[in-house]
Amino acid sequence: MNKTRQLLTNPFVTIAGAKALIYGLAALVLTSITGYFWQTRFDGVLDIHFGIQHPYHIYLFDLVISYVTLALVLYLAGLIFSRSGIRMIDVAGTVALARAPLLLAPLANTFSHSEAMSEYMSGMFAGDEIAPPEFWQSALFGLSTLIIIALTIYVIILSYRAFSISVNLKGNRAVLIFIMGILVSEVVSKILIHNFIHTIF
Amino acid sequence: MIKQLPLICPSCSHGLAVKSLICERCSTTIEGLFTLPAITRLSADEQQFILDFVKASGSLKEMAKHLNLSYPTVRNMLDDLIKRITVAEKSHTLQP
Repeated sequence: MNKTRQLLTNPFVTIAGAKALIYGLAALVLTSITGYFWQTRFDGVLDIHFGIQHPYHIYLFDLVISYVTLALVLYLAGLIFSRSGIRMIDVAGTVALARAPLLLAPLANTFSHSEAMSEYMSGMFAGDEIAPPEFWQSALFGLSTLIIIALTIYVIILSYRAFSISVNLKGNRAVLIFIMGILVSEVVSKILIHNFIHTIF
Repeated sequence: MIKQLPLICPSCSHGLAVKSLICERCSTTIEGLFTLPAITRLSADEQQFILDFVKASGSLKEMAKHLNLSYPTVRNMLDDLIKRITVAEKSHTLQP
């Protein structure tokens, strides 16, 4: 496997620990900035939503809470199920780096026409007569949705590889534990974001 | 060319044992039935890993630097190797 391919499909073979954590956290901060400029929230481990403008700290705390929840849940899963001597820094670093591609998600909102689509859909549900969006608007919205889905799948695959390498679990057992971990952290992060962020800010 | 030590019987896939040993200087041959140590039943790469690990004073961080791999990758390689050695040792004691 050549280096570039490995870097894209499984960078954790060569990068983990503090180095991965620094890259991952840098990507997280950049993601919060691009999210702020293109109104893209990451309000959950698996959530990417285009929407209205919020203050910058909301975008940052969404990402921090989602990341910390996922890293902690996967680390705990590793402590319970792995027989290897796992390190928190490896889980924290690789999981942070696995989420780096989210940086690209807000760019999809630059051409998504999500506002027009959102207005049309809410109008439809409210029973108002609103002219449907142009074909090219729908097409671009569809394309941006596909990009978001592809990015989400890519991040999930990278997160699994981060988990697998950092806690030394493989095969069906690892997949099952990872899926459970993702579901638990999705629920926990959602609860935290909606009850914690919205209460504090 | 370095010949690879055959470990598995090509006929029945059972692990091989040593029947004779020869002195390269005087050609004295000793015959008997000698089981191979567990370490010799590992692959060449695995044996090299063990040698590198000893040379690195058992430091996984040093090994990671030397192999240009991440720390958990090297730790996983070591854990897998420990499993393989345990299996090899068990199969050795189970042999008649």
